[in-house]
Amino acid sequence: MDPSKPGADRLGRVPTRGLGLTLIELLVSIGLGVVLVGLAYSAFTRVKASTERATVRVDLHASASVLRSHMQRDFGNLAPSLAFFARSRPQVVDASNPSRKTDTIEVVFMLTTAPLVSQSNFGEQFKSDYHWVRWRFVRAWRDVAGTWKPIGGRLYRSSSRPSRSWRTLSNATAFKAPGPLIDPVPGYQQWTSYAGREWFNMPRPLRDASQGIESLENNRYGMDTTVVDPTSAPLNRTTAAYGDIGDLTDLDSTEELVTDRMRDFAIGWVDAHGAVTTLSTGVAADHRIDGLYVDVTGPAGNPALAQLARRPRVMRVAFGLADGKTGIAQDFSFSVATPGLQPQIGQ
Amino acid sequence: MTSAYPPDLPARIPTPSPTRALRSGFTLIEIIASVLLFSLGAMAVIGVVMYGLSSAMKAQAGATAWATALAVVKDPLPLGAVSASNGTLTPWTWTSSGASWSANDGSADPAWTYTSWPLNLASDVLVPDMADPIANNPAIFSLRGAPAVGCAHGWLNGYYVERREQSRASDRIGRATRIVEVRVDVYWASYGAASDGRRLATVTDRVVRQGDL
Repeated sequence: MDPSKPGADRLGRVPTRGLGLTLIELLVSIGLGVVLVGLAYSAFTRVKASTERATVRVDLHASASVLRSHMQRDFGNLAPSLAFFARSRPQVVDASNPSRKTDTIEVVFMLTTAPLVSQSNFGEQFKSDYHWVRWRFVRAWRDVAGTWKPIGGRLYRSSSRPSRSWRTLSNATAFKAPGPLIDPVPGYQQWTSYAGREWFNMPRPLRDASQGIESLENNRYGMDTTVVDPTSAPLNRTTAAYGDIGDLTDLDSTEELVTDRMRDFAIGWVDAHGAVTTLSTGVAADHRIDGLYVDVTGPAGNPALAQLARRPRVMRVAFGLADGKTGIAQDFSFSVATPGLQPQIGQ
Repeated sequence: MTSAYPPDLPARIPTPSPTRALRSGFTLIEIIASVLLFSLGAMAVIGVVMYGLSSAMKAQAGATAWATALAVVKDPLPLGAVSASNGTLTPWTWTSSGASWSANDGSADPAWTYTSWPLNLASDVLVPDMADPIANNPAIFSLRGAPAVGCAHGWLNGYYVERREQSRASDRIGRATRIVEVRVDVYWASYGAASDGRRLATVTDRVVRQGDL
């Protein structure tokens, strides 16, 4: 024994045991490490999967919440005096691509807001603001080896621009259109003064729904968009060529994607007398509901109770959202009251 | 006095400490302690992540739960529920070419159950306990049973929803028009354990209902 060796104790013994692990310790350490790594891997995998599910779920609920907000804003302000359209067109083959077809559900209606402009001792002043709004659900199908398979659904929303063509006029009568703001009521004021300008509501309020959604394409002068002449000087234009495009064109141009994760969609309503109407994909339907005058007469002067009964009082929307990556899906259903008394439902 | 050391060695020669030599590697105890410490840290991180996710999910769910309650206050029969002749509704099922799915995600529980009442009823239509019917009247809101008159319950938007509606004779304001008091509770619950669920949203309202004129 040589006590002068490095690491030797005073008796010259070298503590070899402290320099490393024995084989048993090494094996135990490795085994323990493997077990722990396995547990950690499993835990992290589960956490990752759980995180993905939770994230997707939160995301789906967030999308549903946005949709519900749109629904509340749009249907909660639905103008009862104007036309309401809803139609479903199932399985329409794309003319340019025969291996693709679409289901479409669209709802078009006019909403109104009446913001408070001023208050005085004589009362309050409101300005009405009208927009055509369209909700359009499109689900695409693809022919895969002779079998049609859905490849996704999208919901679009568009809103016509109420002030898309207004200007300051020195002589408002030069812009007196043949059609009044609220359909043919003789002498009805078509324009209003706001912030020092004469303001014209360009979307054409339409009470008669019998001609279908395409009738929105006629502009407020009753002309289609082909007569628009944007090059003519404003005050020299005829009323027919003042520059107002059709409302359907406007809806097309303002369309925005709300969500592209909608796998199915259904919309319906309960009318004033409690009757239920539902549009769902796969079933063709075309509903046209006339608006009502404030004096509760129909567009042709008919007694309006039948029309009143058909007006929606509760709008219902149901849809399924799915995450394409994980396949996680959640169905949602919301209902919103439109202006008016709530009907008795489901007697 | 004799020294304990060999006589040829100086008594105070510094010798390397055995403990210093031991530090050149880890002992098993040290490795186990380190791994356990690491595991604890990892678990803590995972726990924090999961708690954050859970909180985010519940916060978001709270928003849709509130929207669900607002919807059901106005509409006792949300879209998708199919009315049967006995007033009990079957789970909603949407079908189209190549697609068929139901709102209750395969659960055997009914998606939505609703019992109506005639508007022209002259007498009171009262829920026995408007405030807490689950606790005091469990039979009324049993998961599979028919609810009380004017009430509804079921699964909607991933939540368990209960809707209670009552109206007194004095609430009649016309032949077929009356005021009704509505309360909707939305629960975060697993299927089959609605009464144990955590309440996410409660909305109460009074609406004027109109029957066929």
